[in-house]
Order: sequence, then C-alpha cells, then structure tokens
Amino acid sequence: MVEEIRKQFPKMLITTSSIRGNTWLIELSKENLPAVLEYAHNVQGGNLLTMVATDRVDIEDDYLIDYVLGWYELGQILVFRAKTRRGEETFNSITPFVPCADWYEREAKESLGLIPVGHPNPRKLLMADDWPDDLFPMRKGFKVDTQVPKKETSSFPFESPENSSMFNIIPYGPYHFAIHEPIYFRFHADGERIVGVDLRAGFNYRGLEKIAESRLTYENIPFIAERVCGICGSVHAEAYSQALEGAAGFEPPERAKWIRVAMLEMERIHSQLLWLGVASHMVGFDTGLMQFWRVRDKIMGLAELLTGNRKQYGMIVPGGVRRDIREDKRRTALQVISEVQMEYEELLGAVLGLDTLKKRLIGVGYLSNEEAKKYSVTGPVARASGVSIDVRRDFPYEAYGSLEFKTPVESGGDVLARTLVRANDVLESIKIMRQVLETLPGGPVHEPIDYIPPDVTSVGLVEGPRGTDAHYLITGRDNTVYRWRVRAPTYANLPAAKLMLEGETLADASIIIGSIDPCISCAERVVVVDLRSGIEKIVLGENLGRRLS
Amino acid sequence: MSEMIKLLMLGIKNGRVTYRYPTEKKPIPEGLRGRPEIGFEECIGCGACARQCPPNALMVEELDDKWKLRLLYGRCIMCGLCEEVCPVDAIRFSQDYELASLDRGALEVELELRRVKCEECGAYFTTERALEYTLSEYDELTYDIDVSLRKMIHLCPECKKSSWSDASADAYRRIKDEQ
Amino acid sequence: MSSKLGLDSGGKLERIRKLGRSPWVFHVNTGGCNGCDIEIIDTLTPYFDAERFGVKRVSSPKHADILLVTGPVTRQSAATLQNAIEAAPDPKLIVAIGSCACEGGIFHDSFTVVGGLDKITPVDVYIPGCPPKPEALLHGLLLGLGKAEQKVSRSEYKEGPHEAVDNA
Repeated sequence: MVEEIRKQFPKMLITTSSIRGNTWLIELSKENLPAVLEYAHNVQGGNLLTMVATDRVDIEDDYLIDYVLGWYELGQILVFRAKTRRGEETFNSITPFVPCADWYEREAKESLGLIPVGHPNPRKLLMADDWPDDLFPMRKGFKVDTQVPKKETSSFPFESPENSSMFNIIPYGPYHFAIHEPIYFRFHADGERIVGVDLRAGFNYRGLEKIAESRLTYENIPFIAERVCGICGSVHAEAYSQALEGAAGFEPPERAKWIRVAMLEMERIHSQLLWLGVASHMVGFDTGLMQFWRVRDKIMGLAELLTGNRKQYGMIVPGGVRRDIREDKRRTALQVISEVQMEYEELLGAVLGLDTLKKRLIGVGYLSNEEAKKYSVTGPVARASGVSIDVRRDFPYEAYGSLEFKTPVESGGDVLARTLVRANDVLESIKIMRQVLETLPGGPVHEPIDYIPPDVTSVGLVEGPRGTDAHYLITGRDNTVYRWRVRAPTYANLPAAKLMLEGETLADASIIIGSIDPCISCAERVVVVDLRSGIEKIVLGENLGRRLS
Repeated sequence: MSEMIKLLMLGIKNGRVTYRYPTEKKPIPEGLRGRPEIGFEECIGCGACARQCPPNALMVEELDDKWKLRLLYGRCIMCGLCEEVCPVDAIRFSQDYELASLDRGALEVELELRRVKCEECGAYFTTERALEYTLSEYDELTYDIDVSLRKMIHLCPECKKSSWSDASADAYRRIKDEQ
Repeated sequence: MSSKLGLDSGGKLERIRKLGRSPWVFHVNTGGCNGCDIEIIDTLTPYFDAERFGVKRVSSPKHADILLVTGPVTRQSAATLQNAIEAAPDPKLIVAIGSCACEGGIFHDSFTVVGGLDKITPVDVYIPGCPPKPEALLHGLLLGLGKAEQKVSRSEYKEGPHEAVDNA
C-alpha cells in the first residue's frame, strides 16, 4: 500500500519508515495531508482507525498530527504524520470528504487547540459545557489536577432540521432505563417518526490519558486502561500491552499469549451474552434478560476462579500475564465451558424461534454496505452490513494465528443481522476457548521487558466484542508514556447511529441505539468527554448526513 | 407458541438457582481478591506499596519522627500490586468482600512507625524497622564489607552522597594494606 | 441502633427502616466505567435475586426510595445528578457504589472529576469494591435497611515512643 500511495503522489511524501513488520510511518507536510488521505480512504478503501494530535512543545516546539489508517485485507497499518509549528495552531480538516474524521478533529480542537480549517461544525465533543474555551487540557503545561471553578449557566449548540418548530423535541437521556450510561440524544420527532438526531456526549469523560501521562508508570497503566470500560476492560489492557511490547520489540512467552487469548475470549462471551440480555430487555422480553444473564453468571464465576475478580481481571500486563492457570482450574474451566455451550444453544434455539421477537428486529435500523465503509464502522455493526473485517483474522496477534475459527458475517444490515452476528460470535468464542484450554503450551507466564526506547510510535489493534480497539502510544522518558490515545470501537460506530435512526419510529429508537452496543465510557474515555447530546432527533435521511458533521 | 413452551420448560428444568443471601452464600474460590490486610508487626515502612498503588489508596505521610501509612478501602481497586511489591509480605489480600459501611471513617486503616535520625546531620530519614531490616539483610550478604562503608547505612541520602567518596577511598586503602 | 453503628443522619436511617414497604431503587451513573452498573443489574438476575427483598428498578427518581450512584462524579454529569437527588422524595437512602463513588477511585485527581459522591451530597452507605460483588451490594443494601451488621471498622496501630535504640 505504501507503494500505491507513493506512485500516486510521488512528490508529496517526505519520508517513509517502517515501525514494525506491518506498520509504516509516512511523513508529509500539513498542506498535502487532505489530498493523500482522501485518496487513501475513499479510493483505496482504508479504514480510519484513529487520529491523534500531540503536543511536543517541550521537546521540539511543534505539534504532531497523526492519522492512522488500516487495511484489513492486506493486514497493514499506515500512520500519516504532519507537523505544525508552535504559533500556527491550525490544520486542514478532512471531514468534508471523509465524514468519519468528524469527531477526532473536534476533539483535537478542544483538547489541544488545533483548529481544523474547513470543518463544518467544530463544536465541543467531550469537554463539559462550562469548560472555558481557551483552556486546553492535553497540552503539556496543563496540570492534571487543575480545578476549574464551575460556572452556573452553560449551553450547548444543538443542531436542528429546517422547520424545526413543526417538530417535537424528545429528549432521550442522559439517565434512562435502558442504557446504563449517561448519554444525551435529542430527537426531533414528527409524530412518531424521527426527523432529526443530535447527541451530546461528554458525561463520561474522566481524563484518563492525562492521568496516565502525569502520574502513572508503564506498569500501572494497564489498570487504568481496564477501567476505561467495565465490560470490555481486558481488551484495552491487551491493546496497550501490545502497543508497548511492539515499541520495545518484545515478544511475550508462548504460554502467556495463549492465556491472554483465553481471557479475551472469556470476555467476549460475557459481553455478547450481556448484550443479548439487554437487547431482549429493550424490546420488552424480560425472560431473555434473566435467562441470558443466568448463563452469563457461570462465566463470571469462571473469571473469578481464574483471575481473582469477577470483572476487571487485572491479568494482562506488559510482559505477559500475572497469574498462571493451574491444572485443576483448567479442568474446571473446560467443564464450565461445556455447560455454558449446552445451555446457550438450548436457549438460543428457543429465543430465535419467537416470531414476535423477530418482527421487532427485522428491517429496523438499516445501514447499507456503502455507508458502513464510508463511516469506517467496525465490529458486529460492520459485519452485519456485509463488511468482513476481523482483527483476529486480518492482523493476527497473540495466539490467533494458530487457532481455527470463523468470522460470522451477515448481509441484512438491520438489527436482526447484528443480533445474529453477535449470537454466532459466542459460539465461535466457545470453540476458541476450548482449543486454547485443551492445548495450552508450557513455559513461563511473564518475562520483564528490559528496555523501552523513548520516542517510539506504536499502534496496538485488538478485536473487542464491539469492534476494533486501537491504542496509539508514543513512549516517553520517565518510565511513562508521552502520549497515549485510546480509540474504542463505539467511537467509530456512534456517528453512524444518526444514519440508522433516520426515518424510524420513536419506539424503535432504544433497540437501534442498543444494536450498536454503545459503550459510552469507552468512547469518551479520556479527558474529553464528549457527550453527544443524547437527544436523539429523528432525522430524515438527508438531514442525517448533514447533521453528522 | 411452541417456542414459548420451550422457554417455559427450560425455566422449569433449571429450577431455582438463587443463593438466598444472607443465609446461603455462593461459595467463593481461593485467590479471590477481597480486602487488603496490613500486618502491623511485619510492615517495615519502606513505602513501596504506596508508590505502586494506581489510585493512591495507600498514602505515606512523613512528619518529623513519625512515618504514617494510610489505607483507604474506599479507593482501593483490588488490583494486587501492593501485595506483589512488598518485600516482607506484610500486605495480603483476604477473602472479605462484605465491606459496606455507614461512614467513611470505618474504611480507613492507619499505621504509624518511628523514624530514625541520620548520624551525621540529625535529620529523620527512614523508619527504625526499615533500618533494622537493611542491617539484617546486609549482615547476611556482606558480612565482610569494610566498616566505613557499613557506617553509611546510618546516614540520610544527602549525607550518603557527600561522604561516599571519602568512605570508599578509606575502604580501598585498608583493603590494599591488608593484602 | 444508629448510635451502635456510629451514625445518625438526622434520624433519616430510622425513618427509612420504618418504611414498611418494598424499597424501590433508581440507578444513577455519573460517568463510571459500567462495571458497577452491570453488577447492579446482576443483582436482579436469578443467581442473586434482589427482588426477594422487594427491590425493583424504577425509571424515575420520583418513585425511588434508594438512589444507587456509581461513577466518579464528572463535571458534566454533576448537574443531572443534583436534579435526580432533588427529585427523589424523602426519606431516601443515598448509596455510593464502587471505589469511584466512594472516594473518586483511580480518577480522583482528574480535572474533569469532582471526585467522590460525598463532595456533592451526604452519603448513607458506602460500598467499596472494583466492582463490588453482587453479594456485597446486597449486604450494603441490607445494612442500609437495618437488616445486616457492618463488618468493617477503622483500625489503627501506633508504634509508640522510642525505647532503647540499638543501631549496630
């Protein structure tokens, strides 16, 4: 892929270098960035994994702007880097032609003060309404425990469709029964139909990235990474460890890799069962909630046996894992997996045969294949629209290269397709766990990393239950990271929610939002909490597209 | 319709799975990380646990001749790092998970140890127990090290820095004389 | 009874214990990671079944007797939290669940986090853990309702004044 880009733009690239086997760093000048990125994303079909802006004023007096794109079919990651001097805090926005870059650029503006020129609506994303506009938390001079006094009045500029006075505004959130996280959607409703959607995120922003840079060391960061999300915690710890080990050129021992796979798959089973239960609850099928969570509790008990805690395992750290799986525990684990498989298959057979349930899921919340690619969605949302991407298969990490599994893909694009993808995911995960537990290799489970060179850029990619989790980090000097950026899958999927909600009825709004499995705390993790205005507006198709930006 | 019956049969087949807390408790596995317990007699006051603790639930305060360690159960995330780094295994995780409390004060543990003075400048620098621990470990490993270097254990870090060169020169001369 | 347990929040605990009906709960997430929230929902599932005690999740704070709060209070969600607390009628119990709500947790010094629920409102029951097990949640709930005993208490150890010093 580097060759293709070089052929197309022979004079624009400044340097290219290889960071690791499948990751390349391409440096360009700020002005050439939009043209190259448009080609890479729209023509060559790259998936926008993340975008990071870093303040390097204390080292080199400049800012770094990195766009990370990935090609699943080729298994390659390209980091496009531009620099801008102190004093020139602007860059050219690519949102007008690559709409999925919207949120990343808004975040760069509010956390670092780099203004995206040409962005249609650079409002606040994650910072609180009353946060002063000229205070930039991710700059190096800002201390993590600065207390800024609260202001009484604050407002957020919501967008509304034309003739908005004709429509009712229906707020959805921030505290509502169905979704356990605060997120504020604002719907404009014409009777029962949704004509406009806007969101306010930011209720969950906690400042993790800044805390990690200031107060924690390389060894402590996996623990805060796990608490980005309580449901998919190990995924973040794994992505961070992968990025750090990649930067140091370190390979963890074999047994550690296999145990890591066991932890990740265990978490995938628990997360998908959780979603199946919560989705049943959202359509009013409480039996489903109780039964799916009953089966799930066996997995939680297994986690407690193997790791010491039901959730937030604390097992995956750079260098390997913290605990070994003893022989008797391994046999118990195999037994539990068999029980779970039997009960799950029985339950799934009974639930999917229910016509009344299926009628609520078919044809609702449609996302087409082109839209899925345009917005770089990921995970079951993408696989349900026919886009077959899976980090486990395309960028094999840990022990996945030696395991046999299939990636379930559907082409319906509606909520039923997403349900089926997730339901089949559980069966595949059970298969993987059985393979891992039966053929676990011997050896040590942890080896300390000798030396981590400073100023190395690295990207870690992991397939979480909701999609691709990308962690970008630049190593630092005092045993801590210089810049760490967490891009959770929901961050990429939520903007597509507007597309899915257009034209649907209010009653279906919960299950549509639920079908992307929003993990808002993942999306907001860091300092900037962008709470999208939870209010979902029902937006008509064309409005949705405009509203997205 | 038959699916509903299938679900009903499933429910009946599984029966009651509820553990009737508080009279019946679900059995807990060994290795569960519950409440951390500090062994007051074993702690030597090195502060390694507080340095590693990610949420700063373990905090060290040094004031004159006292060294204080505070543990807040309320902030503990039960990660187990303190247990890993303690050199004397003074902090261990019990299997207590019933930690609810009506007031915040009940969730605190405080430990106070004495500090010793530097033999050169008189400033307080480490706890008495840490010094004794170092001497006992040192004795075992390095019983034949020169006496002028051994004296450095009783000096604070600042004085150690300034007297290091003299002490090592002294030691070197003595070793050479003996040869 | 309150004096034995060491706390008397203006007789409020007495009033809620004399409520004489099933306590309904409303759950507020002030920006947490969701770990505690899924354990709260887990308490309603068959293995632990909080509904045996009459506990029901309601969708509006105006129907609630007990407010379960999770998450370090983030700047943006502080206002909505305040609204929920004011909407719940007295007598009510405010329960802080998890290490983030008790003392701010791992985010206690962040610039977007207020840090701990008791900086906003007095708290009746603290349930530490990350996340606390469903049994721990049930224990906390029963403690607040006066049906269980508190098991933790403050402990202190002072080494005392210097005796003979022997720095060999």
